[in-house]
Formats: sequence, C-alpha cells, structure tokens
Amino acid sequence: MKTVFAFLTAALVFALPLAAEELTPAAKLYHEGRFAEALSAYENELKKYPNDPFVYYNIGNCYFEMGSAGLAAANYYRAFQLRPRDKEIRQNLSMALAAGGEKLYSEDIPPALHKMFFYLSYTELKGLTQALFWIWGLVCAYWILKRKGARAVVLLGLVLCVAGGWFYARHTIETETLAVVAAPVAELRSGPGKNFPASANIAQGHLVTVEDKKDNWYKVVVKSQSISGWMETSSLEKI
Amino acid sequence: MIKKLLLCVFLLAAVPLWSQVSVIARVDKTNLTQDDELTLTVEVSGPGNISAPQLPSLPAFNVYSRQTTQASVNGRSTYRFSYTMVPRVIGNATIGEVTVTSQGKTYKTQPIEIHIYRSGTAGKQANPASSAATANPTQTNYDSSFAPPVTHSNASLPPLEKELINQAYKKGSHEAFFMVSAVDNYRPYVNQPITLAVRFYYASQFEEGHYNKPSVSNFFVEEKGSVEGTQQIGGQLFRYTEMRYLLIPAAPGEAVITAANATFITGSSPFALFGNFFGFSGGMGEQQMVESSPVKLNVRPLPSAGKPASFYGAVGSKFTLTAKAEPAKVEAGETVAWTVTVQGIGNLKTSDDLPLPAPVGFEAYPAASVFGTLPNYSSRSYKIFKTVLVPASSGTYELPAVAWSYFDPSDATYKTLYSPTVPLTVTPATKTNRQVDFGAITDTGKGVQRLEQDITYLKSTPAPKPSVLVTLSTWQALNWVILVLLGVCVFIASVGRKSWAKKQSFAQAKSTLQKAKTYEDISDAVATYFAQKLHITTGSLPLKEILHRLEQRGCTPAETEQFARLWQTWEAARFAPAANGETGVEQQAQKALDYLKLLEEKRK
Repeated sequence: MKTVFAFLTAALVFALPLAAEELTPAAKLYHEGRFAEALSAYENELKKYPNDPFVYYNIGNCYFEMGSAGLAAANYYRAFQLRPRDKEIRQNLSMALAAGGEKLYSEDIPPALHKMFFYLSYTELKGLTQALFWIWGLVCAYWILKRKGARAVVLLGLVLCVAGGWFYARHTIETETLAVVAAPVAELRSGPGKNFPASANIAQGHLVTVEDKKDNWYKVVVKSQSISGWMETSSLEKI
Repeated sequence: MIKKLLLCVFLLAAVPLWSQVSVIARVDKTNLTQDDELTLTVEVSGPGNISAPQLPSLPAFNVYSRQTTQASVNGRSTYRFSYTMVPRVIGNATIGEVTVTSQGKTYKTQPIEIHIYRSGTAGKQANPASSAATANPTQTNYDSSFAPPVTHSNASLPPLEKELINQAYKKGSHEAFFMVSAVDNYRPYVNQPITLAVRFYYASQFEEGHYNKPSVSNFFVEEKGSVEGTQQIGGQLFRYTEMRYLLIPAAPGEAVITAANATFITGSSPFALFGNFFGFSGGMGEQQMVESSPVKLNVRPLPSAGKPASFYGAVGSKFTLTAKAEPAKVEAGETVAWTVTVQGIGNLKTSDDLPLPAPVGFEAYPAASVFGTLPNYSSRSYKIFKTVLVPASSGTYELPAVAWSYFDPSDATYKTLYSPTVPLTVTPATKTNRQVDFGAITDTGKGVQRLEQDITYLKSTPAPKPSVLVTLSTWQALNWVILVLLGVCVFIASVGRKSWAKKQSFAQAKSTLQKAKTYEDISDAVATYFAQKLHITTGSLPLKEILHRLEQRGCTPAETEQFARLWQTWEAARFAPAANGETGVEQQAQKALDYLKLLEEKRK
C-alpha cells in the first residue's frame, strides 16, 4: 500500500510540471503566429477568469504582435493595475507605451520610487489601509478604556497616516478615467464634432485622461503633450 | 434679290423631290423561332396613286394576312402594307427585293436577312419578346409543313402556358373577344414568388381598348411587361396580348385575385383612320367589355420546424453565395469593402438583409444592400450585402464564412449556404506618425550584441489568487464597526463613567452611612457624595468655603447652617470621641443620611 501511495505521489509530482507546461489552445494559436485567433480565444478565457491580470497580459501580447500597440497598451495597463509587481507586465506595458511615444512614468521620478509606489495594487493598498485602521482602532479603544498602550497608539497612528497618504495618492490616480488611443491615427478636435477643426493627430498608444463625454466624443487630455481636446469614442479604448 | 434667287433654286430642286417615290421595307424582328410570327411592313410614299408592292418569292415563310393603311398630306400619299408571316424552315432566310411600280418607274428595296431558330434555343433567349409567341398553339391544318401543332395536352409546356391555353380553348370556340388569367402556382408559400398572366384574345380588329388590371391584397405585385402572340382555336386565328405580373404573398391564408377586364369598340368605321390621324374617335362601332375569371389562391405558411437562425425570408431555389474583399491587400486603417452576393430564383427583393459580422480586429460600417435582376433572366435576381471594414492592425486575416438560408418550396425544406472565407492581407500603416524606438543596436564588447527588444512571452497559467489584502479591502463594513467601537469607548470613558458615578453617589453614601462604625466613616461618606454629586471637595476646603459652595448650588442658609453643625459635630467627635460611642455614631449617621436625602430631593 505504501509503495502504491509513493508511486502515485511521485507520478503526481512529475506530472505537475508537465501539465503546467502544456500549451492551452489559445497559447498554441499564439505560438503558431495566428494572433487574431489567439486573441479571440483569450477573450473567451477572460469570460472564464474575469479580471485575471495574466489573461489581460496575453491579450495585450496578441494585440502587440498584430501591430496594434494602442490596444496592447490598454490591456497591459489593465494587467498592471491588477498586478503591478509583475516585472513582465511592467516591461511589456513600457514597450507598448514607448511604441506610441509614451512612458510609464516621468524621467524625473526615480524608477525605484515608482516601483515602490506601485508595489501594491490599489485594492491591496485599500485592504492594507483598512486593516491598519482596524488595528489602530482596537488599540485606541483599549487605551481609552484602560489608559494603557499610548505608545502603540501613536506608533500605529503614524503608520496609518503613511498608509493613508499612500492610499490617497493612489486613489487620485486610480479614479482618473484613462484611455489609450486605439485608432491608427486619432484626430484631436477643438469641439465634439467633425465640424470643429482638428488641432492634432495622435498616434495609437498614447495615454489620455478622459474628462467629459458628449454624444460620441470624449474630452481628453494628452498628458505627455499637455494638450486637450475632443476625440471620437471609437478611436479610444478606455482602461 | 438674293432671297428671290434662293427661293427659285429651292423650288426647282423641290419639284423632283416632291415627285419622287420612296419605298421602305422593314421587319419587326430579325431573329425569331420557328413558332414566332414576323411582320413585314412596306411603306410607299409618293404623289398620286400607288400600286400594291410585289413581294419577292418567300419560300421560307407563309404569308397569311395583309393590311393596308393610307394617309395623305398635301396630295402626297403614304401607303403602309403590313404582311404577317410565319417561318417554315429553320436557318437563315432572306426577304428579297420588294418591287413597287409608279408612273412607269420601278422602285426596289434592299433584301433583309432573317435568322430562324428552333424553339427553345439560344436565339429564343436573345429575343425575349419573340419567345412569347412560342405558346402559339397552331392546331390548324393550313400548312402541314409548318411547326407541329401544339395541343392543350402538350406535357412539355409550362403549367402556366397550359392553363392559359386550356382556358382559351374553352372560350375561343364561341367568342371573338375574351380574356383569361392564370397563375403558375395556386398553393404558394409565404414569400414564394408566383407569376400571374392575363391574356386578352381577339379574332378581329377593335379600337379604343382600355385595360383594367386585377388587384389582390396581402401580395407584393410587380408588373413584368407584356408580350403578344397568336393561337389557333377551332380553325380561327386569335391574336392575344398577355400581361404578366410577379406576385409575392405576404401572409398565409386564402386570397383572391380579382378579375381583370378590358373595354373596347368593335367594328370598322370609315372614319377610324381619320379619327386616329386627327385625334378623334371614329365612334361608329359597338362598345364591349370582356373580363377574366377571379383566381383563388391558398397561401401556405412557411414551416416553423427546422427554420435556421440564418433565414432572412428568402424563398426560392438554385441560390448561390459568393464573397469577396476589395482590395485584398490594404494598410491598417484603410477601408476594405467586404461583399457577399446571393443569386438565384426567388424573392430576394423582399427578403431581409444579411448582417455581416464585424471580424475581430476590424471596425465595421454596414452599407445598404443592392438588389438587381440578371439580364436576360427576369426570374433570376441577385442581392449584394456589403460592409466596409477598417482593420486596426496589420496581419493576415481571413474574413469568416457567413451562413445564409432559404426555403426551397420544391422539397419544402430550409437550405443553408455558406459564403467562402476571404483572405485579406493588412500591412502596417505608413500614414501614422508612430515612431517605435527599440533601442540602439550596440556592441557590448563582451560577445553579446543586443539586436532587438521584444515583448516577453505569454503567461501560460492563470494568475495566482489575489492576496489576503484584496479580500480585506472588501470588508468595508468593518470600518464602521471600528468607528462605532471607538465612539462607545470614548463615551464610556468620559460622559458615561461620570454620569454613572453621579447616579450612584447617593446609593453609595447611604450604604456607607448605614454601615458606618466611626465618625470618620460618616465624614468620608458625606465627602464622597459632595465630591461626586456637587463637585465639592471637602478635604481641601475650609468649612466656610464649603458652605459658600453649598449656597452656590442652591442650598438655603438654614440648610447650610444645619450642615455646618453636623460637620463640626463629626469633626469634633473624630478627634475627641464621646462616651456614647456607637449609639452616637448611629444617630449621627442617620442625621447625615437625612441631610443627604434632603439635598437629593432638592436636586430632583
């Protein structure tokens, strides 16, 4: 019996890496260079695993290989928001943005600081801040009733302030409606309509902030260029 | 002077022209089948009387009627001689020179080449008008060498023809004018096109004919033109005019096509020619009206069982589906027209449009469909569905196959066709200002040369489960719990604790006083009550100040004086105990309790 159990355990141990390396149908299509079909398959996978950062990452890869850096950047960004610590997601997002002349962060910001700032995802940071608040609340309650543990209250209060500040800073970024130029070339117009003159042509892959919407037009700010105007909704992919 | 000379020259030149005779011969068709009839018209115009033209030898034709009309204007007459002929042989035939003699001179026309085909051959298709005369049931014995007689039982005739001929045989034996109508299918399905034919037969001339077409509700009606032909009935030659209609039933159930009718004037009038010429009616004949019989139809509904999702209402047969993309190679961002064409026999005009899907990676802009009828095939039509695609990115694509279904009434089944997939090559856009910089290619000097940076490969597994922090972020209700907890603690720590002590102060003092053994116990109980209830700390204040504060808190001078006496007694007894030890303590404790009760009642 022990021998059988040991055999089964060994078989399982050896089988696991093999099973993990087996390509999914979508990965197989991607591997064969059939990117459009792989994209369709990954979009189906997204229905099965909603908000899975790796599926977004793979969709971004498909778009990138198909030459659509804008849509690739949008999907990498979604993956980045969910799993900002992942090096590969960060690298591919940087590349997709670079294809449109954009950068993930300004040159003035040290890369280490940016990585630290985005070490946790927004939801993780929210969870951390909340957990710290709960602990601090309990310690405070103890101190109020018993007049003991004042040092812990102060110390935890400082940590909570730092976490709260970090969360607030991320919150202001996360609540911005970001979009990526998905059309090969999108026209930036001075008003929400084609009767308004085009002030700039924006290549795909550029990050924009959506500020307003009117009919089929978004009011956007192209941060890297510090210009604003109106773009057709069909030429943008909201993140 | 010059004008007069010019006028003379003109008149001199006009005299020979005026006296000249012109002869023109023409036919109504040069291609016909052996069942068709041919009309040869010889038009002779000139001064004075003109003799009838002499026809050449016509071995290939039988001439069986001749009509002559005449018109005169300013002494110049125009005679029009019309000969109705039917071919006798198959092949090329020539109508030779027609000769006209006038005032001793002979005029000849040019020969005319005629091509006679066998019934049902390409020549018939080349001239649809003549093909209508194939129904000519020349059941006579006037020329046995001519086309074989077509009887009403001829199985090779289309059902509609057979029906019309049979009806005509019934009426033609005793009427010179009559009208018949028939359809090619009396039990069509909804959306199945059928043909309605209305024929007006006449054995003699008539004038001022007026036709009223039939009507029908719940049908799409489309006029398909008219044809003319002849038919022998009981040894008499009838000519007919046939009106055709395409009907498409819109709803199932019984339907009736009302009778068509025609009014006309029969009989010849000597003034008819002048009436036609000068625009008034001869008006000497008898007015008549003929009408066809109503046609009853039973429209069957399309079976709901087995109806595919790709069925858009087309009913018919022999449909084909083709697809193409124009151009087949474009740059990303440029437009491609993707068209799918359906073609066959059926009601494509009334069927719904086929929605072409937007392939992945394309923006689609559907365009309106185009309907048309194939030339030379009035029953075959086509419909083109089109959508304009804009590829977002480069690559090799395959526009997908599209399903399109129709109902085939011949076997009462739905059939589904698939358009072929269409390859499309999309090259990277060159009209964007995109500038991709993958970094300079540099030699590190250590045997490694960086060629090109690419994105990292796929993730082959789903992402790990989110950390516990993500779960904690959803417990937002706990924030409120903590806030409430803090609030409760603060309340307890401040307001609640004091208030409770305040409420309990009298009870505590009473309990202490009832158990008091010494004067010190009495003093302490009263001092505690004062501190909790009246916020007066007796230990650090002189008696005078205590009394003053009691007055501030509403005690009367008598009460303060009473307290002063008691307090001094307790203080004295503490430091100089009396002989009546315990009895005195009990009495003083009772007095202290009475005093506190007095204060308590007063504060209420």
